[in-house]
Amino acid sequence: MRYRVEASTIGRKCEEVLERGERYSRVRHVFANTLYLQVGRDMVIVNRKNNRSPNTITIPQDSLNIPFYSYIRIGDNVEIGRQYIRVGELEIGLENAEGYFPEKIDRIRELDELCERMYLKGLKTILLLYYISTENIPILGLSRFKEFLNKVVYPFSKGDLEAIKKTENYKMLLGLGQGFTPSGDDYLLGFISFLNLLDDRFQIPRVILEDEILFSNTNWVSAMFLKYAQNGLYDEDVYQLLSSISLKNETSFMDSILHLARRGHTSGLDITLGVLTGFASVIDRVKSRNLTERLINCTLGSFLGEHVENIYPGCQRS
Amino acid sequence: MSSVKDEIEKANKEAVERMMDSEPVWVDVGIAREKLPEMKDYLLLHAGPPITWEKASGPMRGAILGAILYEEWADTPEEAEKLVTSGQVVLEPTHIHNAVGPMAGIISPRMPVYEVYDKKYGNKTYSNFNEGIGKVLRYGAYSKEVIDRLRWIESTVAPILQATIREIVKDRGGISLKSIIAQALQMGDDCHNRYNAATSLLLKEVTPYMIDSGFDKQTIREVYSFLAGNNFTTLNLGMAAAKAMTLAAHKIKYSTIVTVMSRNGTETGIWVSGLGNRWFTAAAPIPKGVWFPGFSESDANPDLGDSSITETAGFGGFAMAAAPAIVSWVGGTVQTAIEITNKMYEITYAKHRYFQIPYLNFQGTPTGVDIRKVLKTGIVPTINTGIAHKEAGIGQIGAGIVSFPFEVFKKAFEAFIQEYEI
Repeated sequence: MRYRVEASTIGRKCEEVLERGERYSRVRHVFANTLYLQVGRDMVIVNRKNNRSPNTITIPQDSLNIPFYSYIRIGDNVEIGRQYIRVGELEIGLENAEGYFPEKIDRIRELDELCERMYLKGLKTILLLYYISTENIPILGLSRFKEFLNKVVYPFSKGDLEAIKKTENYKMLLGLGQGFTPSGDDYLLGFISFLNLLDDRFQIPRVILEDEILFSNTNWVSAMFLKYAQNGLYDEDVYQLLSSISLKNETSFMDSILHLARRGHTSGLDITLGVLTGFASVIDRVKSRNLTERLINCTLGSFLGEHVENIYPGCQRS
Repeated sequence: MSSVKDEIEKANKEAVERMMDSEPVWVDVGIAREKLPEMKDYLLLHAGPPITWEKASGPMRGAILGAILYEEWADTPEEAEKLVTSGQVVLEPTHIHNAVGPMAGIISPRMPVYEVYDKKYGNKTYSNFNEGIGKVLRYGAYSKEVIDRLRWIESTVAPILQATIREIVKDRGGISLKSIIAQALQMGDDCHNRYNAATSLLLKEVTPYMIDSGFDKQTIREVYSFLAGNNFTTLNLGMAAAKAMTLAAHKIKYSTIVTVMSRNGTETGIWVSGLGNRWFTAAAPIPKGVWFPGFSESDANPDLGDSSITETAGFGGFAMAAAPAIVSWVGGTVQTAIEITNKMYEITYAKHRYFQIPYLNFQGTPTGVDIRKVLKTGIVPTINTGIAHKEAGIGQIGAGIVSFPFEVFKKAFEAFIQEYEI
């Protein structure tokens, strides 16, 4: 072992996983500041970005300023001890790590005018940030995204519950697009997380994609993120976004959108778009506001050079 | 019908093209009262967003008092303060007068100003004269020595420079400041806190005309020594040039490009092209600095001055990679300077067509801060700056590096969302 650092935080799920003392543990992906470890059937993330999650161990940003990839390789063994984990040449002390145990987010109970205002502000924000790119935006330029809106989101917003129940429908987005976590997966993570946070009074069934669908259609890390999100385990940024909707906290909502927007090329924006699509379609179901049509107008209309009238005859550009 | 995306792209392209194509030329020297269209007695212009006496910091207050004494509206600092608190002396931001001033940035009616004319777009911009470093009005000092120097600038420096520039204008239309800045960036200046090359280039152009200006030899020599002995002589002209460049990019509908970044010692403020003259403000941060002997961060005032107009126009701190020697003045390492420039590319619209950095293979400087990119990346503009003592009357205590608060860009972004139908 060449290096040792002390973890600053450890997520609840991480603790559970490590306590189980899984025998099969290895490095799945290595980046400069992040490691993705497979521990049994679970994923443990080690990062120095200060982005906590239930399955993340964070180490201080300024400690050991050497990129992980310079001394850790994919496939390296992960050894789990009582108060430490060893990953290749790195030992991470866990003894003094602060636990990250976020409270369960309260279910969304109502979607009132404030929620609608938050939704519109959020949509405008992410569109303006998407617009920075002069080239095609990965998700918005894809025909399968258009198909998803057509087959799932739009019918759902008009009352068709079957549209979101058919798990086969989600296959068209899984693994779609470029990036470590493909754009389609990010979008779905947001969309499904929002729907699954709704109170029972909305009478909307939980969306749970089986492992078989997840792991056979996208990469392991992305599938794991989706799997955790379906079970209410989110990283801190996504947690804040969903929590701000549940609490109807407009300031926190905007701050979390902006914070999430920094993630990847469009990864954070895609997650938020998924959340907002869910937001719009459920408001439409409850209040018949036609927000979904407008959202489609703004997104597809801007990037495909089409207006929604061409996609859904009769819809008006907002 | 074009989409909002297209409108923004078109507007930003136009704004940054205009910023780069602007042709600021130094054309005259005159008294502020006569040159600035809205200037009047008992009006003082100051750097940054609007400020009241109650909220003004020590150096800003010191500079206001000093300007009142210089104008002879009062005989003592106490009388001067009464004039401001009673509302007889009015405070307005320089920027709404198309003017700029470093640090406190005070421009009073009788102060001499440089007039810069944008040959391409027809705008006129103004800046006051640079007094040197140390105990000077712009850092809040207002002792007799400071006021006497201002009067000497008014009575001796300004007339010679006026005669000089008027001859140059007759001869060849004025002095192209864009050309001086472009050359100086390739000679080791950043043209915010390092103007060594630019000042030499300027003096090379003006000195023959100064000699022929008709003033006596001794006076010319004194003025020359004053100008040559202060590497910040060209700062104020560079700032007026930057103001002309950014003014050319201002008020373009849908543009998300920043056209003013400034500080008044209490607050930091920005303007965004598509949002007109609306200020978006947040508390001004304290720079990380290199301190003059005997001073430390605890003595420092929050950031101050209009000089960040240079970064707004695509040079200054954004071009620090062009000026490795600047780190001895503002701190950090050469690597820091390069990193700052490289980071600024992530939040700007274009690489400048005319301002280039030799070390980066003559890449254009990062130009045109896009508020959306600041929000998307979380990276904020970083500038270099002088640091004033927090108490009035002491003056400059160091120089350093400071970043604009994220909050101002967030406020501007939210205003943009409200302003335009997305």
